[in-house]
Amino acid sequence: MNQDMSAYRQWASTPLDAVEWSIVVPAYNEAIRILPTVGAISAHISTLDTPWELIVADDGSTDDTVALLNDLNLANLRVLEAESNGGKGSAVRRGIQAARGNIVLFADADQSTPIEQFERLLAAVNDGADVAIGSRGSDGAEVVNKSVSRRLFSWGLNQIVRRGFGVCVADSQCGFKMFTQDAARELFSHQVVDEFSFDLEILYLAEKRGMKIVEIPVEWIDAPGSTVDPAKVAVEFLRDMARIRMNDFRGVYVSPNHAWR
Amino acid sequence: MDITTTLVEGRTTLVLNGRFDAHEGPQFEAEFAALSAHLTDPTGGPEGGIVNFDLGEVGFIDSSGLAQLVRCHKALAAAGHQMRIVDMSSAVKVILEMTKLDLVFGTADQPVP
Repeated sequence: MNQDMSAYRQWASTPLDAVEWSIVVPAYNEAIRILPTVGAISAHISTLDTPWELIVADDGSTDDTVALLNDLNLANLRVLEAESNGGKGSAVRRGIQAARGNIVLFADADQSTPIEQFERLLAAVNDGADVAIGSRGSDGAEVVNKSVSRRLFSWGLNQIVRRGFGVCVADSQCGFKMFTQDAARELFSHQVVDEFSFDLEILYLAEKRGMKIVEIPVEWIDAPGSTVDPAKVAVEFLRDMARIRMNDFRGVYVSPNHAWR
Repeated sequence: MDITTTLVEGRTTLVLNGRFDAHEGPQFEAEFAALSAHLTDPTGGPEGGIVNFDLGEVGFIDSSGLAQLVRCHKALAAAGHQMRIVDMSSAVKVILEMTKLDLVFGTADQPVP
């Protein structure tokens, strides 16, 4: 039924000096999908009565993604532009490093994890988690329209991650992850993988630092138009796992911040 | 997404419930085709030439869902009828505004002139 729009109108028109939450959406050539996603996020988060900002970290789009977003003239939307396509990991890193909120979520541009599940991760962070990750593999998750081949692919990657990498989560790749500001700053100041495997690197770093990682089962809906090439991704994934291990061995991830071990 | 066609206060109303994305396209097209067949039946046809769309329980609509609504709008106009959105969730309302499609669809509050 028709819902009160006043909170959204206020958010859309009045710049906030300080925010509690930041939501980061990486985007590359998302002209077709970005407006519905921004609309859905804006409408929902505005109802939660907490100051927040939306950051779209563009990754060098060559379509109208940036122009469409700038035309919205939303008071609390920031669009970060990039001169070239650096990879999803670089876009997320830029967005999170620009975030002002005490709690930071990054969410994929296709709304495959509906934003209504924000509160589930927020509850975990408010309960003490440093990192709360949406999970398609945990008990209670609901995965819709995902093909059998993609399910097998995901299962295979997960087995490699758990057995070969020591990151013990049921789903390392879901594009819906929330961090405290401290955890985000620590992780993304050391994260160097720019491509698809940056999620894995973040979780690897979080575990090394003894951060509390909580997996939250989510509803996930396969978004039409996915450009994931499983074979290519698998090769990159294995390559990046080796690279992350080598970085660790070389001391790339050593933190001067003694708050984290 | 659940789709039902009802008569509400004598008006043909298409009630949608759920997420409206490309996966729902075939089902929606089938429902609309059935509705269209009814509209062309000389003994049927919407009262006042208006077909209502109730999107109050649509939590999200993507570009393909919006394209479906535009197709409905055009098809109904070609048949001499008018499409009116009588209810919408805040997410749908915001998305229609952002895509400027709120200017295209008639709503119960602001019918298209």
